[in-house]
Amino acid sequence: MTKHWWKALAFLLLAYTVYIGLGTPLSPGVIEVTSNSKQAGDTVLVHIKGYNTRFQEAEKNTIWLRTRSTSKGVGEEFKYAFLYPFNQMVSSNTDLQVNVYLPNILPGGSVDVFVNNELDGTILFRNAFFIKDVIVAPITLNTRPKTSTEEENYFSFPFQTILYETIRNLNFHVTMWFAMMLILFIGLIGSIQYLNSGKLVYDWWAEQTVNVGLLFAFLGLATGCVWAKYTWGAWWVNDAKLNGAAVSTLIYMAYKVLRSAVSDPEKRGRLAAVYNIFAFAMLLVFIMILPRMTDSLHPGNGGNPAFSSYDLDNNLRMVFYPAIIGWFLVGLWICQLQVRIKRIKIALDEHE
Amino acid sequence: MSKLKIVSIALLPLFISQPVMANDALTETMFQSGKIYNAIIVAMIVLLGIFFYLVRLDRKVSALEKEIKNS
Repeated sequence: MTKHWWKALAFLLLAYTVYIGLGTPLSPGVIEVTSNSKQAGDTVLVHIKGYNTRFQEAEKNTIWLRTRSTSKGVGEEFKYAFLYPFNQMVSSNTDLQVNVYLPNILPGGSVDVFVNNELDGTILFRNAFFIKDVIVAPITLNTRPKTSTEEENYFSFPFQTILYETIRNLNFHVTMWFAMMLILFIGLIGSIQYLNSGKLVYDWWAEQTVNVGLLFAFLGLATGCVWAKYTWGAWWVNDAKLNGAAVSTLIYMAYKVLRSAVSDPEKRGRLAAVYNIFAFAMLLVFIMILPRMTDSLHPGNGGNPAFSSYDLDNNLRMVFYPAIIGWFLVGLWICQLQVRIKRIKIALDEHE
Repeated sequence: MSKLKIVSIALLPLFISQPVMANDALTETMFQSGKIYNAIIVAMIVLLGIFFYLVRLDRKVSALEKEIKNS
């Protein structure tokens, strides 16, 4: 049992990933703000729809609207105007209605909505709607209201518009690619070792790491497609990151073709090892370097904030890294089994 | 019917289901209704199945290794 501990660890890490990764609620947020009119000069009814919020349980909800100047060179004091609503109606924990008067002159037409209470903290919903026929001028109007910074803290994942609950896919999609990189790195070491020593067992390891790496890559592509459909609206987009991932998958598939083309084990091992070293270099280029040099929809690439900056918060990390280790260990386990089977097969061949 | 056919028919709903509008899905969330625990149990069963399979494979390979050593 002592030598099997890492297999049990893999299971525990992945069970933890599933339980915490799926079971953790999202932080409170606002998913929709609708207004019956957007005309400047009107008093409008604004409906705020919350998610995981507790408008009703909270003692006091403070709501304010902010319009922002988008023109350059405007002094800091003229940048923001704040609008205070009246007639607050809370119909449920997730539904809130207020009346607001929209002035004719404002520093900008785009409205951000803030909701604050002592349970949810301060929630910001950007660009809720655009005020029609507003006269844009550098004026000041009210200041940000004084609110308590109190909020009930519980273990939660960040609330992100568009992503919503799919943010937990991070623990199942991105981890696939990280685990693939780690497994293929083991294969790279195996290939180098094979070229150094000429021992066939290193070649077997390299071969199996590519098999498992391809498995993870296909799972990563499939999960990515599903996620993309829900957030970007398409299964596949012509994007540097996506195409890079597909190309590197093809490169590793070519590795398998190369292996099947040569029958002499020594020669096959040498050729495959050299190819594998190049393939790993190309993998780094295609999924790490090139996507960062162009614009990409995919987070973590050019012109796009990475998940690591503010989306990947510490709570997500607490699941993300254990998940990578878990998948990596499972991959290693499969490789090890395959290598052992190969060894048995060769022993049987010699026996005959 | 071949195995592949059965599997592809079972997976069909996955591919034809259209993304639900965020609002409809979010009005009654899986958390508020407690259904998320069902999803967790299903995922755990899949995980247990995979590990059960791997442990069995591991044992079989170990048995074969022993056999080869002794022969």
